[in-house]
Amino acid sequence: MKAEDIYNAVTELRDDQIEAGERKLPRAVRPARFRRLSAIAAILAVVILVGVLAWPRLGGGAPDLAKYSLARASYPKMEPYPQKYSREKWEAWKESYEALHSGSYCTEELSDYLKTALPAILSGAGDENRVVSPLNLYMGLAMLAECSAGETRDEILSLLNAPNLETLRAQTNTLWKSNYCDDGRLTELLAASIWLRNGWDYNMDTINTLASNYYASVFSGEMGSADYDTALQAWINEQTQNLMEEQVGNVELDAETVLALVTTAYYKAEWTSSFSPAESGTFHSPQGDVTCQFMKGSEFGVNVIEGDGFLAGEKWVKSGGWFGEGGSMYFVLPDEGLRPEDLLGRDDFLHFLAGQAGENGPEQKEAMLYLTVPKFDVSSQLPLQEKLEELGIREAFDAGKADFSPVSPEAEGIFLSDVQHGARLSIDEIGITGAAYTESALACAAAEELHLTLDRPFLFVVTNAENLPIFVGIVNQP
Amino acid sequence: MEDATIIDLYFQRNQQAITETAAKYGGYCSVVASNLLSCPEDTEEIVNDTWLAAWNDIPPSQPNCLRAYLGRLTRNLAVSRFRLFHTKKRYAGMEALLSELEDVVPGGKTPEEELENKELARILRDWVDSLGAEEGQLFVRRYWHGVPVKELAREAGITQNGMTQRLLRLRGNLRARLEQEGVEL
Repeated sequence: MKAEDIYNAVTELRDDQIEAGERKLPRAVRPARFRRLSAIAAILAVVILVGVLAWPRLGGGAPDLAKYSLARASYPKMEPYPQKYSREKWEAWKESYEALHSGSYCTEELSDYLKTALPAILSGAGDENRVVSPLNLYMGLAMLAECSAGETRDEILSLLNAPNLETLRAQTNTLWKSNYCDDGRLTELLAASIWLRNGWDYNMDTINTLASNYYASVFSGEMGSADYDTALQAWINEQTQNLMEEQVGNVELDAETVLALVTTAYYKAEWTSSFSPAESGTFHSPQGDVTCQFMKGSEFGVNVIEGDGFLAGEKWVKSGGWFGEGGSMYFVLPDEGLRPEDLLGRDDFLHFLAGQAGENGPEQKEAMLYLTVPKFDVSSQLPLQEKLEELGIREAFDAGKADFSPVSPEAEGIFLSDVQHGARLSIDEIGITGAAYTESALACAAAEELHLTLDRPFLFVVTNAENLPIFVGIVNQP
Repeated sequence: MEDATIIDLYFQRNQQAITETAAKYGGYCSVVASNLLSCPEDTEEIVNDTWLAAWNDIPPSQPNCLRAYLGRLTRNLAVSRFRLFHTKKRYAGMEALLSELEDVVPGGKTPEEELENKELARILRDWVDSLGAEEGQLFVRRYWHGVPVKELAREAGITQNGMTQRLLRLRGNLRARLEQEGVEL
């Protein structure tokens, strides 16, 4: 086939397509700017998230939350992304997108948090799968910092690399906005809620701060009652489109709980180029060979990172204003003989995780990438207390030392009793539910061709338009 | 004059059809031709040839959209002329366009492996439909209308390098789609 054949095929585009091309291009979407960048007895923080890189079920009806609701979060309205050419609609979408995504936040501080927290949270998976959302955890911890004071707060701020609460609040608010999208093409939402105990004396300033700065809904009910638990589960299911239904069934509030912070993450997007229909193949899991469905796809001009002990390749998702400039999913294959967890101690990999490939980290280049990926649906439920203590958050868990005085005048004895992090992520042919460029097109046309076949344990990273990891996971058993 | 009235003139074999077509679409066809050929004399000839081609084709053809129909004729005539008098200097626009489209078909020219033109056109139309509004518009603007990269960059408010990168990704995406559709490249 010759280029002229394509030229001739282009000539035969439909009339409406040709007419659309007569109009001048809309101004490009501006990317986000970078700058230096939950008892007396118990306070419970439950962190749940869901990633949908596929199109599974949508859930049934939610029980009545209204009777417990004091305030429901109101999310920004986004204009739908136009599927057909319409300058007016595109401009309207662009305006609503940029209103949310043009904020700036401190990438250096976030990168340090990611490089510290992710190895600790991802380690210990053994032969199991593990999925975490570092941004979701960041949101939950930021809310916890709002509820705390003294050394308890300082420990949390230290892990999050925030100099003070005000900076953290502004940073989290910007992060929330830049990770919010509901334009009919990409659905991404970091949701939060506060669960109060009827009759308790709360400091409403703190509750209002959480509600207004963290887009948190506020509920109040009888802790320990089955009905209140059901309402909590219903809220999580509502925010995660029932994708966490199985895990959420175990989420209950103890009768001694004074306040629970619950955050969720939901993400759904399509690949810019879908995979070919899956075919059977062999995956070499740590527990022996298993048969699973493998999908194949090729992508041109994507980022490929060759680091110390791994090769990572990118696949774009439809998001933002242009493919390749929105979100992506990276598939990371450790070198033969290494386990995914072995990468957690390597600087190259940590730089890559923190979005620093090509800067101080491993070499990054563009290539024609041929991907062979098993179709997977992985989930994990992770108690985080031990991990957070390892990361320096200790006082919050100590009933004798914890300081949660901003929550209530009757704060003495309140401590953090539990932190759970549940996550699920799946991909299929259609979606996940996310480039240093040289000079000329021709230079890149001759880009290196690389094959990445994920037929043994691997890692994945789902990134947003700012290259921050929304989800990170280890797949030992697809 | 309304397009339907102009087309009626063609059907009546009234030469006023050409005069009216030239008056209404002369500028448009000139832009399409000059974007591809970058040579004023050839542009003028191609545009005149377009009127003749339309005269010979209508009837039996009865275009739904006269503007797009004439643009197609201009493109077809431009590529024919390019084949006849291929010199880089003379036809810089066409040279650049075909050169960029080589990305999509880097090699392999076995005739029996070539897809029927009709099928290829269908795949391309579907692919453009599957793109986001902005991507689709850019592809058509560059590869149908032949608008220079520099001009596209200015419209979008990004650097020329940034626009080149976007076009590269776009062609890469097309290449991936063609491979997926089983087109031998």
